Amino acid sequence: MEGEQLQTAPYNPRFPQQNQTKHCWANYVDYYGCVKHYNGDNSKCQTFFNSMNSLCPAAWISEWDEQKAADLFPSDRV
Amino acid sequence: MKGFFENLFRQNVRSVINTGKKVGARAAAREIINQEWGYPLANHEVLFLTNVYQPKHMKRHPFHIVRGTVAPLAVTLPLGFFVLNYFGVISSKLGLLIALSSFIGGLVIWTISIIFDSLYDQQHTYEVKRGLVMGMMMFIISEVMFFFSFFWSYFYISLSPNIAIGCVWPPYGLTVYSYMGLPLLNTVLLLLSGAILTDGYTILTEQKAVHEKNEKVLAVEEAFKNLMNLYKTKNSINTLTFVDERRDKFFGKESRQEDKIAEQKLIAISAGVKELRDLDWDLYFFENPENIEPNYKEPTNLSVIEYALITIYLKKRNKVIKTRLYFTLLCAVVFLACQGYEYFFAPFSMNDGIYGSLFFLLTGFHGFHVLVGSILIGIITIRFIVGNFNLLNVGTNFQIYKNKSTGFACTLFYWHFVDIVWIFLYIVIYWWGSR
Repeated sequence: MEGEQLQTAPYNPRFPQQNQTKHCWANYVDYYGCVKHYNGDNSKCQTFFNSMNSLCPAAWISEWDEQKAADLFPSDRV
Repeated sequence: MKGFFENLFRQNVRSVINTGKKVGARAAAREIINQEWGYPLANHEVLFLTNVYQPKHMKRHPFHIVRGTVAPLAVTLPLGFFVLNYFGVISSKLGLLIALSSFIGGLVIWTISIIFDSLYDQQHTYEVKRGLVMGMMMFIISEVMFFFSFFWSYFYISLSPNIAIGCVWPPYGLTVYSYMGLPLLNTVLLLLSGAILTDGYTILTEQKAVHEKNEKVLAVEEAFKNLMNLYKTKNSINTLTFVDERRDKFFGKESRQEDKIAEQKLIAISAGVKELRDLDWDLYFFENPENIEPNYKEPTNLSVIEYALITIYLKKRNKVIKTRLYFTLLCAVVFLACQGYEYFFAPFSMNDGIYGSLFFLLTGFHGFHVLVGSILIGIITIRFIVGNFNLLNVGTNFQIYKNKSTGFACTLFYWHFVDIVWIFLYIVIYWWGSR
């Protein structure tokens, strides 16, 4: 336990409000966009992955994953 | 009833001529009924005639004390019924049918009674018209607030789109209308119809002459305007010399030898305007009792040529205004047809997402207002054809409170309001809100 570093998503001036819904959504889209960009290599996309996981409720992520699998997610970038 | 009040009025005029002062309305009524019906009226009957039916010249104030009528109840009770029906408190198809017919019938009766108050009872004085126009303005302001709230919701949703629609506006993957197709045609139609209706109104209120580069027509117009001024300023004694000058311009000097033949022809034309004259000039002096003087002379001694000039002018003018009204109506109908087409073939529906909901809410309420505006324009078209806006009724300046074109003016305001809302809709929804 001592060696483990707990870290949440850093401050992003695009989302200055208390409501971080869109911040979570943007990280989800960025993460999968990044993975797509590096042809499935997610090693360079860990910042987005961490932010996404600390901001988004797990239920949302699983719902969006289902949408993505069914090609229903509302974005071009994933 | 109208004949009775005219007699009452003439009795007053006679009294002014004979004794130099007006008799009271009740005394005059008593006198006339004694003379014409052969028996005296009871006090309460005289009171009824003079208080319940109050012609303008019998009142000591300029306001309209409206009569009791069932129309407001016939319109508002069904509204309450509709609400109860909507929430399922009452559900009866027959009741709904009765309520709907009562609602429409009440509106029709109410409209007609207001028009009759103006035309036959002469209740619409300067102050009353000012109140009517003020009421219309208040109504339009409330309508602006109504649409403002929907625009607010549109901007609230579209300026910061939700994650569910991909954080973009219009929503991700949705096909929306281009601003260059039917919407642009609709914009042109509405703006053109507004301009044309305004043009008709300016002609109606004599701010603008009926243009045609024809000397005869111009001579007629000028003659007519001069005639109107002469009659309105009550200096109608020397109109005949003035008409002689006009006659030379209009028919040429050589026609002087054929004056008799020309006059015989013109008698035929003047027959057409006779009815109009009987109605209008009586109404004019009926409406303006302050113009009555001891040497009051009934304006029935116009020359035949004057009638002819007026007839020609009025016919041309009526034709021009009618064309404009029909054109406006046509534009409104084509607009509604285009909107119907757009709705029918829309790639989104009212209940499949926020875009469809807002689109149909805003354009649907606007379309409903266009429909109401078309009905109003239809009403003033019918009123124009029937002759509610005849020249002497209308007046010769842009003075909405001083003439009989208040209904036309209010319709015009409403139509321009609908135009302006459409411009905002076009800019915000079709142009800014498209891809």
